[in-house]
Amino acid sequence: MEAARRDRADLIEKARNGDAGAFRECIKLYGSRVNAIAYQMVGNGEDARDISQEVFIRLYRSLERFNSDYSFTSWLYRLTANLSIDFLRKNARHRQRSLDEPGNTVDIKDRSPGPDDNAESSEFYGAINRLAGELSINQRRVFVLRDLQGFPTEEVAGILKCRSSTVRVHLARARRRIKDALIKHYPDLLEVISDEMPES
Amino acid sequence: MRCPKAKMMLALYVGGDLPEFKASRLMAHLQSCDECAAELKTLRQSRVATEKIGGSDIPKALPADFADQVIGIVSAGKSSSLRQVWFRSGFQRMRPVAILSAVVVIVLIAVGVTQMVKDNKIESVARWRMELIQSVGGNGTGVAWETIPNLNDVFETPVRMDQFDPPREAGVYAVMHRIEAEGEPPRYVIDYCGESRRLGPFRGHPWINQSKGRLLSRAGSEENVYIAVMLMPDSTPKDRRDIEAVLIEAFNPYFNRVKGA
Ligand SMILES: [Zn+2]
Repeated sequence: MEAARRDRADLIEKARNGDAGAFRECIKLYGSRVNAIAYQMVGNGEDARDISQEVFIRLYRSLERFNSDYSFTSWLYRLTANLSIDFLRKNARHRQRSLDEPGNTVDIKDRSPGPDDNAESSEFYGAINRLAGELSINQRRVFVLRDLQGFPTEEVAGILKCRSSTVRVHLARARRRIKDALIKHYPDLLEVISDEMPES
Repeated sequence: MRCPKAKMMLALYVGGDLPEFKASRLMAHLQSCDECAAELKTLRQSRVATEKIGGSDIPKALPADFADQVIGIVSAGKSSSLRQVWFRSGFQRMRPVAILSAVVVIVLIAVGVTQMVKDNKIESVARWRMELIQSVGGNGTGVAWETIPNLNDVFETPVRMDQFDPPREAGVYAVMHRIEAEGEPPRYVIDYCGESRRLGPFRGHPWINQSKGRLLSRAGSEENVYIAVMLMPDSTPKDRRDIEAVLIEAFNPYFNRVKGA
């Protein structure tokens, strides 16, 4: 664990000194995670890829500020979440003007992934977007980082630069809304799970 | 314990995010409340479902030449294609809209600058100042924030004030209002730059102040107030004032001019 961390710090150090190979390694190492967060935030593979590209461009321009792995990954994931939020806001604002719909819920149904968008054609294709589309922006980023990406609450707070108590507030609301969204969109799935689950 | 509170706690409990002492109180409530017991069951199912869906609905892998594309862009010194992509998709949907003006409070996140200050590399701050002043070129009609790398690299994206929860750390902030016109990137007029020993909870001028009325009249409405921070946790007041001075010099903000006058 510690060795891996040292390796990563080493990699960033090399990239900072202009080693293109090391920067390429950084992209390999963190690209999928960044792309996954962006995808879960904006719900569209193509947009997620654009956001990921922007993340690494900004990373390159900001390399000199990092001296530890911790601040590096927090910064990287925070930037990913923030750029995704920018994207959602821009889209929400434009849609709000045209549809004149109130509320701060980010509904991006009209940006649901198209058929070429995802290599997987799983039965839950586009499901995250359908569910997380019912969340506010703050709920969505907390839900993505905590429940989909599995970061511990304290780490989510570190990434988002807010207090853990704030994370918990958004998290509780997000989970309840996700539950309601599941009942609405995937009642069959819940039923199957209910049958599988032991009574406790 | 009342049910609404119990239900919020349950949502945390299912993910192991509820402290132990609270959990025992919650369990006591569940003993006597069927409704909340049923809620717990559904939340547990929901959690399993979320895991299933999350593991199944995954993005397509990044293209094999993704790293090459990024390196190509940065080594050519180009700005990214992202902004164009965003605006393209935005404009397709946009109707002719009157210019929308918004007050944006920017809290500037500047780990990089902090590091410069901490290492006492004053020439770095000086260089940053030069680059910033050159690229800003006046503030009267606003600056296209996202097109100024010297801002964009150091500060994080503006956040709406009602969604803003800064940590109790030292830092620098700025206030601005947004001007948005069709066919152009949004521009920001910086209205105030300040520094604080503790940003959270935010009490900065002119947001929490008698000047707030004037700020809002410059802006339009309270809903359009945005904020972003530049955290400088280990900084001295002088460190922060140095950064603040660079921003004031670059933007000549209205409230820095009239404050106290
Ligand atoms: Zn109850």
